[in-house]
Amino acid sequence: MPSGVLEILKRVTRDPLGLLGLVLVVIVIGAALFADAISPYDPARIDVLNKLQGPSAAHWLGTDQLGRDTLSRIIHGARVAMGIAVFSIGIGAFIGLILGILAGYGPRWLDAVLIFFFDSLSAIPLILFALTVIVILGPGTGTLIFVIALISIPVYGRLVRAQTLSLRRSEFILAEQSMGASLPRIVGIHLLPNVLGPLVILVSMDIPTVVALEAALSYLGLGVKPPTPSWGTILNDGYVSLRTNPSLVIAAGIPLVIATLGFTFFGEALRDALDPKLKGRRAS
Amino acid sequence: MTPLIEAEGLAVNFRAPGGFLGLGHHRLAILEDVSVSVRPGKTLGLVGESGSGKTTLARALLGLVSRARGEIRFEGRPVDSFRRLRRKTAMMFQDPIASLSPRLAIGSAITEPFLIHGVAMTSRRAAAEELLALVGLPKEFASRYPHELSGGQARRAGVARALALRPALVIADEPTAGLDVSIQGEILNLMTRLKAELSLSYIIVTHNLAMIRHVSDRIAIMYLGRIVEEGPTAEVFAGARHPYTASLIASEPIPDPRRRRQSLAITGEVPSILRRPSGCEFHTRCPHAQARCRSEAPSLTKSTGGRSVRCHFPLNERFPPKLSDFGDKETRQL
Amino acid sequence: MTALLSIRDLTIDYAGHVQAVRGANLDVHLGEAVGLVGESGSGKSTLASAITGLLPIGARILGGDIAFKNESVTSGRKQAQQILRGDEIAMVFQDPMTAFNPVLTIGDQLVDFQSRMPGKAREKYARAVAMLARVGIPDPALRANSYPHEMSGGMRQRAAIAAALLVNPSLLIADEPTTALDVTMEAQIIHLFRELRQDYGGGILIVTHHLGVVAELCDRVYVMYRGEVVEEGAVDDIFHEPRHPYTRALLACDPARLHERAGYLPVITDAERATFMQARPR
Repeated sequence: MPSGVLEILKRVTRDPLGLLGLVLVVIVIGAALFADAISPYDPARIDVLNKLQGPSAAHWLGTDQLGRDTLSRIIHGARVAMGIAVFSIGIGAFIGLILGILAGYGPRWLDAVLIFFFDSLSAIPLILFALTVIVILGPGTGTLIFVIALISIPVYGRLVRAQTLSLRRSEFILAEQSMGASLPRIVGIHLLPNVLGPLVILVSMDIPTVVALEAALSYLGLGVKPPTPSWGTILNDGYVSLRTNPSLVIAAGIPLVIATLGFTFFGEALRDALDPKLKGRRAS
Repeated sequence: MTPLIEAEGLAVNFRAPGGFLGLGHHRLAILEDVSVSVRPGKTLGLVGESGSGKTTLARALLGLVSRARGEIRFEGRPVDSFRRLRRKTAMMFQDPIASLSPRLAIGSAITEPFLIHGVAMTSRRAAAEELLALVGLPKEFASRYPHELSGGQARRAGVARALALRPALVIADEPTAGLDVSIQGEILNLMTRLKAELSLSYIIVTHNLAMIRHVSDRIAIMYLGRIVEEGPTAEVFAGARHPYTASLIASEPIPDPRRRRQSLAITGEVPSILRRPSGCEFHTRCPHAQARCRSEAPSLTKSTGGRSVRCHFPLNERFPPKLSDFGDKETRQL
Repeated sequence: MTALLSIRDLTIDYAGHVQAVRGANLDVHLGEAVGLVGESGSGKSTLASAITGLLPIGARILGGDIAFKNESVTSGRKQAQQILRGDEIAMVFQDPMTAFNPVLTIGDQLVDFQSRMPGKAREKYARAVAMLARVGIPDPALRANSYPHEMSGGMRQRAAIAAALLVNPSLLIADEPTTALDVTMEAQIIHLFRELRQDYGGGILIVTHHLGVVAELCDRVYVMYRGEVVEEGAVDDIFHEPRHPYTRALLACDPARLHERAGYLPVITDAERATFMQARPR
């Protein structure tokens, strides 16, 4: 990246919301990466004597009906949420990128075939499709990743195809052809970096959607299986004991809000930072 | 002397989608029966208005647009694969900033031809600085990005990249587009100087008559995808033989308030390529059009003085034109 | 004779540091065509946009005054400027595509432009068609039904001129009106402007970088360089007896003014540029 990741981050943080977004994103990712080191308890440790407690010095966010420490479960939930989001979107974006470039830069018939494929995939209603796959494969992390990756392929594929198509007609690609540059060179050095920018923005703005989807499916009992801590299952546990211990629901909701807002703000600031039209240029 | 590059009977079609559900398509003739040649060390000007096909011709000559018919010869040999030509030819595109890869520093961009063709250079940095010096840009520009350059600077970088491998032929598409007159001269003078130093040949594609008059040896005038007139620049300007050339020259605003034009040299617009006029394509706007022009298409015919013209009734050849036909065209040809 | 438009000592800056226009004076009288020439970055477009109150974001007037019909435009309220922009001053831009709404027909838009004028819709439509005919659009009744994208660049520019003249403005500002057009179309638009001058009594201000357009069309010229008006005068004097070294250098650069084929074209060197600012205006 010639403009430099640091340079882009600097531009993101110039926007107050972008800075807030970046801080929230760092908190969530940090929690996911160092979950074992920072969580005060083992998230699976059952302590029935101290079940359903409110916030206290020993348990900052209280405990659930099995006496497990809520803060520790939320921190480990971040790892599950991020893991699913990163893997599923990563796979979807990677396949979408390849198919999109093939559609945009390849022969016309291939474009038609891939467009048909994208259209067919996105014609499937999301939740219904997810439920069907879960019924067939059984609930679990792997199933979730598979479903989300599959439905996100056409989204990324279409974006990359549109970008590739417009770049393909641009003068600098034509200039490369006139110099005799090979296909891998044109695609790898000139096309890819220019397609990646918009893709990264879309990915970062899709992460909260996936986090929410994972939570929703886990809440319904169709996602992550207990005892693995997930924000969705914590939310469900909290719902069960809503009357006796409302703090549990609130505690489970906070990370969802943090992750959603953080990635959304960050994504929006990133979009502005990468937009060449907003790059400090002014009309005369 | 064999021409450096030569095209004969070149035709280019575009496929326009159409028909039932867009499944069918019809061919749209962009170029028809185009023959041009450039001798070593010379400059050919390709002149025309938008839609004349001049840019398509430039691209077809380098195989960037595939041709439907016709032959292209380079140094006397027919070109079957353009890949081998790439080292000896270079193209400068219309938009100097957009023709540079946006995420590549200028130093990397102008030395790319070395990498593409596996040509050894002492170091990439040294090669970049040498090329920048050649086109009169300070070496700090090696680390700048295209969007940080002015139009004139990007233009120079484009020249540097085109000349990296010391090609024999450079095709420049509108090299002065969007530049002020004072900057225009700098780029053209640079091109002229390098032409002598590196024994280059140029094809310059432009609509700027005032400019091409000074920098080309021969010009070809294009109208709706055909060459309507071709010949030595000075002689074409001194006495155009195709009515379109004459009206084009007469249309240029004269930067002298004492010689204002009173009448219009040409009315109407260039017809759409979708609805080519029958016969001679210029007959809809030609002040001399006759019945024959509407039905029979003229061919490009050799005329005296190494000139060719595609007209049934050429001007300035056998009969002198009537002054009244072209306003004060004559007063322009000092 | 009092001027229709009178600009005195106008200074405009961008974001507090770059002075785009410095102490500019300019007058336009009724019935007069005035040219404002300069290279890109000379400040000519900024100056023109200040007249209509359409300065780009970040630009502001630091000093001086713009008076239209002896009334200050700069000190007045925004609303006064808007009224002025619609009825008294009309503009024609370089790219006629941007002047029209792409989803409405030309005829409907020409009716819309007359919204502040009296009359029934049908009369306004008839007036619009008549104006299209006047600017040389063939089959004007048919053309009024077309959308902007269905017209060629030259046609659209004619339609934009028709739109500008519909409100019967006393000042017409044309910003690079022929720059986006081909040579033969440019000649036709220049011809059209000349024809229109025979019965249009208002003032015309033509902003351009093209010396040929000024020579063909204007009575007087202002030459701008790096934000300053460096020379002003009758078009014949400017082209034949330029006094400011910049004007001389700029004229010398135009390849259309070189009669002999030149091996190298004249340019303005940086050393020359350094001397221009020392030479005082007029």
